[in-house]
Amino acid sequence: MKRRDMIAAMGTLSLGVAASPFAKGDVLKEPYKVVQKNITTDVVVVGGGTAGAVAAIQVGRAGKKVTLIECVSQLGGTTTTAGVAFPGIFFAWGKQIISGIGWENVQEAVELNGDTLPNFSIPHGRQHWNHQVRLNGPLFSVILEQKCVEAGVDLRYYETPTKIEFKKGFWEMETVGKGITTKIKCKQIIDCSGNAIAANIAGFDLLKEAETQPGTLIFRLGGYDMEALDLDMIKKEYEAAINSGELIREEFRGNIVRLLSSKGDNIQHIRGADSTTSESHTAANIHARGSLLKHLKFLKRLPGCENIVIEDMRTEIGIRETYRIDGLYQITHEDYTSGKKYKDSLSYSYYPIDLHIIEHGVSPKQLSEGVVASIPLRALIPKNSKNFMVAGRCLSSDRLANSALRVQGSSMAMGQVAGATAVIACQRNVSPADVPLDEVRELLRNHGAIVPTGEV
Amino acid sequence: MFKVTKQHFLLIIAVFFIGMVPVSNTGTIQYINDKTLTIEAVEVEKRLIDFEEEISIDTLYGHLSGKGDPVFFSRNVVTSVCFDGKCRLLDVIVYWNPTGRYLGFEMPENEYLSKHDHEPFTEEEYLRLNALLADPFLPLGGFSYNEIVMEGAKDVNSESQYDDEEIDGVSSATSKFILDYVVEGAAYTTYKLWHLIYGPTSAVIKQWTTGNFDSDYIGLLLESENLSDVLWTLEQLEGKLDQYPEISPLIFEFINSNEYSLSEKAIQTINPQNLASETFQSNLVALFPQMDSGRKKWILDLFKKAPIVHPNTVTFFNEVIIDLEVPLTVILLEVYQKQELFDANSLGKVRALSKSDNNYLAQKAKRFLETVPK
Repeated sequence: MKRRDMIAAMGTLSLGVAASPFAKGDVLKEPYKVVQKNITTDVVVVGGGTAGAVAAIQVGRAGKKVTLIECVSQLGGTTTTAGVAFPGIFFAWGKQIISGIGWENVQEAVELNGDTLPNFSIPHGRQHWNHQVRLNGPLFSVILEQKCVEAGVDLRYYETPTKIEFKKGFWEMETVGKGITTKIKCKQIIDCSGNAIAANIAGFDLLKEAETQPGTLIFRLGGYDMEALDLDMIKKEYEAAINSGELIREEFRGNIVRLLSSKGDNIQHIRGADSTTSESHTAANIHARGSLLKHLKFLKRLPGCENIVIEDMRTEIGIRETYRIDGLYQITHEDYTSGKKYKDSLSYSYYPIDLHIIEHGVSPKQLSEGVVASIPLRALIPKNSKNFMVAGRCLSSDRLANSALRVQGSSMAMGQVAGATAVIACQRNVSPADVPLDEVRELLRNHGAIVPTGEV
Repeated sequence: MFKVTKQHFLLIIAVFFIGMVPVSNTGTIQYINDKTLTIEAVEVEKRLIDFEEEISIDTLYGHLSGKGDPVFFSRNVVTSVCFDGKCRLLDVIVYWNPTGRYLGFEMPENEYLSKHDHEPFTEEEYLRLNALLADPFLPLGGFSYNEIVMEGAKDVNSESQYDDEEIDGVSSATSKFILDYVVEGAAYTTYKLWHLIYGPTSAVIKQWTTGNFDSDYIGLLLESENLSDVLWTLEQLEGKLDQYPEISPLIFEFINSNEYSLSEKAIQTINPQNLASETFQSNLVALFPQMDSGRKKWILDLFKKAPIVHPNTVTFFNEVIIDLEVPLTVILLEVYQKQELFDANSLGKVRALSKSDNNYLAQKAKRFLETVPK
């Protein structure tokens, strides 16, 4: 080939490359643009955790249109994403007190996982955890998702509300998600975010303790033989590491032996863990994971722990307490421990007063024999609100009552109550505070719930 | 003249205390709790078992009825309890019920339990030990021996402000709590015995017992006065009722019980093959009205896999389908679908559902009707 011909051929070749820069089948993405979507529905549930998933399923099964907004990628919240897969207590004093959709999901998860339910007929005494049902968290999240789909729930993962306004009898909500903003018009909102974020955006008052309960990252350690460890030596080394500033005592309740024997199951305490904003939640996650890493490195230096490993770790830290609404009624410690009955009681709750305190560990106080607490609808309704409810740990309650009410079983029951109430409120075109309670009770029973009679 | 020395004094004290505790016919110290079976054991079978624990190869004694069924089990345990580098012999006979539940213990002739200071157990301490050993949920089970032995475990006045009353949602108690779960001064003896009772022996016993299962023997176990024995027996029968149809009347009694777990575990024994019987189906659906939603769900799920749905049952289903709780109506629709219940009455009920005010239910019914062959 002559030099002139070769240069011409090279020119053609390079032109060809420039004209077709992609492999066959590739398509050039159009420039980034945030998609704007408009939705009209009956009910919006904010948060797909223990209360929210149940609330949405209830609304869907009662035949109303419902949208569920969840800021992470799966349902179940504390049970699944945070890994606290023992959802509280459904039985008290030999009788079932929480059933309905929450229990149906638990029952199905136990069956599908080939597990056996605890013997609820045998009293748990001081060891209430004997009545805990251990769940397979991933399986539970899949079950919740499928139940939502089956009930016609419009699931919107990765979205969070940014604006909520009440206009002419409807709520108008704006949410932001990955590459999308959504405007949702609805009749009723149920805030199951745990942090009362929707209530906050909507302008209702929230309460928070100066010192909240610590958060906990659930993980599993392995690679050591507990029986082979020199625990006295480990304790001494632990104290030295605390004194030198390497470790912080409160992060594992000052008890390195318990960290080793529990292998990380619900043992960590992270002060001030708050999931309210991306920033605070990020900080809590970093703190929790950093704390785990520091303790892992410390243990790895010790004889017998050289091969210690993190076998599993949940996606994010579990949060026990942030904000609570200022509701039409605030459930007090005295109400809870005396089993106070209300005319508008719509669900039960049973758990010891279970305050995790950074300085003092955990001091559960069992309820007196025969006592079962109940939850009035008013505790789910913010003061001065219309067409708005909460369910889950952000209900209106004092700190000690909240430490028992917050557990997952009770939150599931609350979720179903809020869902059923929203349905009747939609049908009647009234606010939740004005729904005929008999109709709500009938709807709840028709969906398998156990409902207090309302006799006081 | 006889001079009372310190040794004599201790011996007199020991005899005094031992004299207060229950003794067997042969004069040994013995604590026996309620028995699963009250029938007489007439023979003893020995099996050499590798328990894969501290005392690995050991003899398990099966005390058998005239029919060769286990009435209770025992092991002659001789092991050492070590602490602070010193070991003491623990020589005791432990008894189990055929369900693996702790039955009691007995000291061999001339043997008695003592504490770290060599003081013999008082009657109160024997009673406490027996009560602790009878609790399968004792938090002691969550501790390693290492933790008990740990110097810190003895330190009740630990400086740590984090140790007291630590209990969380699932388990655990901390060092100071150990004192609540042991005989004071005999923590290691309590720990050793508890772990021996609820360790591998219990599983070997259960295997032996279930290996002898026939309707008569199961019937005896289900008549136990102890609820946990009955629940255990029902758990072993999960999905196996078709192998023991003779015990069905007892199972129905349990299903109808107000005790939730008894009822739940009785339902779980049913195998879909049991539903081949028309009488069985009738008896089962007759219990339906008294049941809560969760138990109804289990029963309806069984009908999805039943070999047949008998006409009387179809009639019953058609009577209740409109008034059932909504989630159960949906499950019943699945039963209709799987069992191809396409008769005129059933279809009439589903058509009525397809006009329900509840759009969710109406859609479910419509989807079912779309699948019905023309």
